[in-house]
Amino acid sequence: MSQLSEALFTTTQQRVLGLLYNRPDRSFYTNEILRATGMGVATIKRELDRMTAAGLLSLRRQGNQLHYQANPDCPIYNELRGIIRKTIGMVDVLREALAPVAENIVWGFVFGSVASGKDSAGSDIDLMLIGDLSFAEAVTALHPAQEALSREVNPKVFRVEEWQRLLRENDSFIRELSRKPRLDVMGNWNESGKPDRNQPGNY
Amino acid sequence: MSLENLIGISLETIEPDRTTIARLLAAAERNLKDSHAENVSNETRFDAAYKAIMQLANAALQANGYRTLTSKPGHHLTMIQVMNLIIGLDQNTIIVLNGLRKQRNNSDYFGDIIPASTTADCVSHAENLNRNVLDWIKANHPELME
Repeated sequence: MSQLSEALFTTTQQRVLGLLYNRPDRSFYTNEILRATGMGVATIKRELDRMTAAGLLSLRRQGNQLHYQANPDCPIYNELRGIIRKTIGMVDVLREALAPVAENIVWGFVFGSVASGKDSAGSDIDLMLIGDLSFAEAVTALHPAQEALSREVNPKVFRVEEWQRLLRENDSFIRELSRKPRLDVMGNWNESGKPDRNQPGNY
Repeated sequence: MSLENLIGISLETIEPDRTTIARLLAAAERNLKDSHAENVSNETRFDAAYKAIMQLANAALQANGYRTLTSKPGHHLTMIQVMNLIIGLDQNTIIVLNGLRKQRNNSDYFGDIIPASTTADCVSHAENLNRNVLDWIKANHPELME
């Protein structure tokens, strides 16, 4: 969640819109929304009712389930889609852009001002990519995402061996990273079977 | 966007000067050599290669009768962007060069470290640009290479 989305929407609204407006191609039933948002039933139900009444969401009954979906007939549907994509949906846009090179990425995460929610309108998205890909490949893959996000994406690409060496050397850049918030985009360090013991913040 | 549109905004016209262009090409050559130096950091090798890219772009721009307005900010970005109009550099290469420009910015002003793979790409792009620019000047302005 960014400072922008925090200023625009309540937490509940961010979770609901982030889920439904990032996947306008499908509907979600109530229990699904509760699970995905991790929020209480009364809070979510109130928000869903209000958004449905306003026409932001469409409601369909299927058996005994209520299905909610982003409503393309809503007059601000396109604008809201754009806002959600640029604020709450950033990680998904990045993940999609990286799909062609995903198998070479061990771990990818957003760090810096965007990850800590201290971004301003002009902030770049600082993206860490660890794996077997080149800087040029990363920049090329991410270029289309910059337009969708209306932000520049600035990748830092480390080979696994180089990242391990920085960890061993307890590099100040890595130390600082481990103290700051991050948004995981794909993979992680542990899953890849790389040593994570004795490292600050499980790096 | 055409080069004429940028005159007074980010470019000015000049009479191409053989000596200046030769000096820029020679400086780029030295920086390319330095970008392979051992026992120096990634950052220093990156800086040398990046500097070569800027000198080569500048040489091509000047051979074409333009230079960037140094009174205006962003002349690195301008030089990278006009390489398509000047020597027909493909858009994908321009995207990567622009990415390298941002890395240099974050390294210079925020102390970001430059990963080894980024230095490798910077060096290879500088070498390719060197070939492209030399070929282009030879083909289009042989009088400047004598």
